[in-house]
Amino acid sequence: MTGMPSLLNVADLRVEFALLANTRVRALRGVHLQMESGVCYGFLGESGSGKSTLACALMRLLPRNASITHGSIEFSDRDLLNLSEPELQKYRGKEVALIPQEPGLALNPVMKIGNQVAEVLRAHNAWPRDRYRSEAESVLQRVGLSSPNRSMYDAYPHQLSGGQQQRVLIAQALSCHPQLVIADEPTASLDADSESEILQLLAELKSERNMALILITHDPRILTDLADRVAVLYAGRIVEDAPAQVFFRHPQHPYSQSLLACASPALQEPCDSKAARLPTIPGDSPDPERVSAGCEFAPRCDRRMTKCDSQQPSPSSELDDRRVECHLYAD
Amino acid sequence: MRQLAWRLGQSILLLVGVSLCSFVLLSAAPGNFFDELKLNPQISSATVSALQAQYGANRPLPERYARWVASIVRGDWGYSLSYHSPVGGLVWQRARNTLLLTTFAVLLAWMVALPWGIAEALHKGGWIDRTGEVILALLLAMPDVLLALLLLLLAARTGWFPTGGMSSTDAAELSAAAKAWDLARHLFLPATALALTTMPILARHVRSAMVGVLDAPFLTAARGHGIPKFRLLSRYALPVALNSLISLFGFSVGSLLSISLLVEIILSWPGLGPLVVEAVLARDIYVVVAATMFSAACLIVGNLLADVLLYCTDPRIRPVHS
Amino acid sequence: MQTKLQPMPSANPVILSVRNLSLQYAHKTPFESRTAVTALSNVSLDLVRGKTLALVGPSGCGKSSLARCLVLLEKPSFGQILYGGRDVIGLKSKELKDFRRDIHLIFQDSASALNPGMTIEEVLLEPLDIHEPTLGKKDRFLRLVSACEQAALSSKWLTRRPDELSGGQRQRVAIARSLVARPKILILDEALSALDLSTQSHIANLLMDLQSAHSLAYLFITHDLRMARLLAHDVLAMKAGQILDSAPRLFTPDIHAGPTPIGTVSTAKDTEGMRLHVMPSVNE
Repeated sequence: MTGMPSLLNVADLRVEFALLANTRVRALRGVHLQMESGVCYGFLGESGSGKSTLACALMRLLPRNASITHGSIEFSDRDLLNLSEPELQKYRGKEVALIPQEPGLALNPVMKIGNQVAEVLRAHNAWPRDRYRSEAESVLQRVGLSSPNRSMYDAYPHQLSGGQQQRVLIAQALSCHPQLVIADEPTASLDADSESEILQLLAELKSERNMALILITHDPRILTDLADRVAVLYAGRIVEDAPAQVFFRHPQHPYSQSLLACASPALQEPCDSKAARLPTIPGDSPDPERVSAGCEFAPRCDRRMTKCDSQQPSPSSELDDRRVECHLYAD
Repeated sequence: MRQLAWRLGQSILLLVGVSLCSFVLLSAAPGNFFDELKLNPQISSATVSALQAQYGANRPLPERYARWVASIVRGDWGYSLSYHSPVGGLVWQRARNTLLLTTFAVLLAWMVALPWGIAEALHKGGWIDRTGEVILALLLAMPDVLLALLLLLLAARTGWFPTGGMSSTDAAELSAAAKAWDLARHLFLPATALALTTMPILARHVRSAMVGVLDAPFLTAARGHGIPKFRLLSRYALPVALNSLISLFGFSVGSLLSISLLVEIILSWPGLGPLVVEAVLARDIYVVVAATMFSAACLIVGNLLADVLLYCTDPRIRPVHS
Repeated sequence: MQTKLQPMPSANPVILSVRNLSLQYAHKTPFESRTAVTALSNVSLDLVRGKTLALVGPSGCGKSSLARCLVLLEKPSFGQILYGGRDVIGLKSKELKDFRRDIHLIFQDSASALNPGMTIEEVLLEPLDIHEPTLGKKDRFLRLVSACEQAALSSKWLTRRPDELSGGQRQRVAIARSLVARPKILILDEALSALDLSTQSHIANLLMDLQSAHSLAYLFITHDLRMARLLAHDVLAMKAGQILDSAPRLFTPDIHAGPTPIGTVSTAKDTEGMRLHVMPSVNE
């Protein structure tokens, strides 16, 4: 990891949300991240882990009540936190693009999908008028939104299925050839068929364009094919960060282990024992308003030690390219 | 198109219903035009009953209605007893003025309300928003009559605008351009009064529609694609916000029309308002029915217009053509 | 385990039968002339006491329409819903009360299915107000407590409002709410789909416990074949408003034995796509 020029460099990023009654919620509590171009990074985390906040922070699209209190984000050696709004406008969509959650809500309901793609092209290019349309049409075609007899350029979002809407979002994100694409739960609202098709499409586009991809999800299963690296987020920190192969074969953090167990419950038990329990993670997800002195996962951890409650684990040294924040693996 | 024809048919049915209701209700109201004549000692009772027979006032209600419908076909809309002329021309002459006033007022109200609401929504929670809301609240709290009277006072004190009528006394001698200017000056006061009565409501709706759209995920998504701020507003936020406002437009036409009757009386605009009041007092029922029909028709047209606009701006309500 | 040892509560294990159910929507918008859309055609299935029937299929296949028909939120155009020997479709609202008490629908989006202005306690007591208004104060409280216990709801949540809870907690509230009236059938319409995986397992375990304790019949509607296979005793696949392999079968003895359960042949592709085993990495 060292030596290589990195595309994205996030250091000790902290984000806080100001809520009513002067409470501040710490959504990200020191995220470190380094990413080279052409790599697919999977961010794995459950709701409340801060994974969507991280995506928004990388786009500088945090809601008004959120603020970056500490840390830095560098993209291609530029400090993102110092960019002005016009500079950000050129950065968003052109260099880093976001495929937002919920395809049904992320499209303008009264604009033709083709125009919505053309609109992105228009924001970042100065072309003659009719070129936007032809270019948008070819992007739509690339993501599989064209039928032989008629272009889907003139369709409106409500006329499309969830999978097709997701393709429009992908077309928008890819239209300006960004170096990095961030996909936030790209398959969460899709059924199994569309899910595998969309993942297939993302994989194709990634290798075709040699772009970096950040795939944010709560479901480890969609990362197995695609991700080169996996980062596990828990309560606003990356608790494990490892190459995908290593991670899926030997997850180290107890949380990672439980998460993977939930994803693939043992099917070996005979059918009769219907009361066989599925593996779960005990306890509730962490309360973002409360900050513990020790490891945030300790209350739910089955391998917890006394120091887990009082002392925050420091990241392990990066042996074979992986990093774990857990006292079990402290040097 | 077939839908439009269907809607037009519905509207006509509705108008028939309105005419029946107003006709029956007005006939059922105590007293009629001839009761006043009877009180007049100079007119003999024989004359009154002759008049009654002449105008068919003593016929049963269904027959009177049928005669009235027949007169619509002739374009008369019944006969006004106090003006001694067919109602059609009489009402239309006044209705034109009311229509002019209302159209201007609607345009004025929306032209102020749209930027007002948008500005507030864009600076939600900021000082622009808060001052704007206070002003709107004040305007809303003020009764329509008081508002019109205040404007009248202002005009009378300053002399900037004429305080009544539609045209100056020397209007006939003016050139076409000067005539239009004269009309505009006369129009200003009543149109402003009228616009001010609905503008606060419209502005509030614009604000809430825009606030809802500005928070929508698709707008954040568009921001994430680097789309410039002006285009975000004009191509994304406004078209979607307009959706809910268009229905309000149809409603605003109707409500302005009924308030205009009041404002016309206060600011002596020669529209339907003064005519209707006189007609009601004189029990001149055909005039009242015709005026009612006119405002019902305007309301229907306003809503029809809103539906057509909605059809044009919102693809979601269009039928699917395979 | 318990289900197998337990004797069947009655001679007839089938508690609800759906026969040849069809549903057509007349699509109407202000400017659109009527176009009929067929959401369900000729659907037949049986729900069995103490068993789970899973209904899988792609989005838009009519699964949710079926769920809405079963709880009579939607009036089917054709067919029968037989409950206790009677077709419930034609019943008057008074006669329907028992049926409505016995069958409950749990939605995917519990956030919008719970009244945001009510506290959890009010939400949970509401079914009792409707179905058993004569119940004494003490009994009501006992019911509430036992429903909370069964749904693993902590009593400290009772005073909160739905938007103060997480998705998994809200889904537990929805389950507890349906338990208060002691139903016999639960229709779970994508009830787990919006939740995190560990929460899904939590709720799934809870559902299995409740089933063995009360002999509940479940109709588990999902697009997640993995969960269907884990929870269900039988799986039906649905596509374009029709049940594929339409003969309803009560028990498929060993649903987990083969790679593809009987009745879901046509969704075999899905099964592959689900990638049930995570461990082997596929990057090379």
